[in-house]
Amino acid sequence: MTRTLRLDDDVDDALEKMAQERGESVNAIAGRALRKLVEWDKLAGNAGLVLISPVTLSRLMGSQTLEQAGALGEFVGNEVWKPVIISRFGEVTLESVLKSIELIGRYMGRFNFVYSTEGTKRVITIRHSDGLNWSKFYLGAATSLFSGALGLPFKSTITEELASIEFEIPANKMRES
Amino acid sequence: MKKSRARTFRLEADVDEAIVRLAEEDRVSLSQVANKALRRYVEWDTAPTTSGFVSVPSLLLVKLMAELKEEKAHELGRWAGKELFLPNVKAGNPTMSLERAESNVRMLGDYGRRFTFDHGIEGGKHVFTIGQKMGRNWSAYYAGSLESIFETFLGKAIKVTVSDNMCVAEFREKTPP
Repeated sequence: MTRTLRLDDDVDDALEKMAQERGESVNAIAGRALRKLVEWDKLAGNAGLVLISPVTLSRLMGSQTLEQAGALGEFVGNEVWKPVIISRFGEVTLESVLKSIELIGRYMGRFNFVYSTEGTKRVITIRHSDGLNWSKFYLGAATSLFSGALGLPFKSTITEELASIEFEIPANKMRES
Repeated sequence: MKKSRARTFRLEADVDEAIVRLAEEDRVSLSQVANKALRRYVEWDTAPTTSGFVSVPSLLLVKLMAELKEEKAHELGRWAGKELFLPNVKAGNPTMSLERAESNVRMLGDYGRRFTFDHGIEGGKHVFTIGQKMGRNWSAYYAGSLESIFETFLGKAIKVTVSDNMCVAEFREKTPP
């Protein structure tokens, strides 16, 4: 649908310049920026997200032991993501957790998220390039959400570049998965 | 009052509905919602100083930094000021100045949401204040960053004090002979 908006001159000029530099339309850029606003910015605000250079973040995480990294992941899963999921989606279900992981992956820019199904088996893989501590961190967060909040025990694999969990969906919960 | 101009966009229906809802919730016009999101997109998300930054929960940064000794946090800040901040400012415009650096620190504070920044001048004395709520080690980190930034431009050490939620840097302008 079409919508006419009044933009500040400097914002409009910057959009025009960006569109020329990138070889795409102002409409495409604005559409992406507005989608980010509605899908992500409020959720980011609720999660108390702040911005930091990835290099600094990497140094900070690098100073942790593997156990500390896992505990931090569990802490963030319990204290940040679980309340945010409830605030955004009303309750913690497999569907709302998966949607949240997809949004976090897309907008936080830290990892790629792959979800696959085979009968009652589900596999979630987080791929990244940040090393073993981050894999352990993601596994900790998965523990808080899947084992803790959803009551779904899982088998896990971690390497330098991925954290993967595999679990079975009980037949009575198949509809939402 | 800022000058503005009308622009018509073709938006996906779910995005359009969501920005209408946001405008109603915040009791502002659709154009105000769009301007804010688009300004953020063109100023922050794509600026050389800040592009590539990642979002993380502030609680995670509090925990990560709390594990360090204060001197290490200070050292990390000095490193980040010299090796990350200044090269990024230079990448945006090779002609560096204290004013440009200050404007970039302000932008980091406004959009990065980790700190507030203020600059006051009284009788030739400049006072730069960074306020934050993430613990003393983060004050020490910002102190290290400000030291390395200002020393680059002023060619001399500056006085910096830290407290649990604030870091204050001061220097006097050279008085003409």
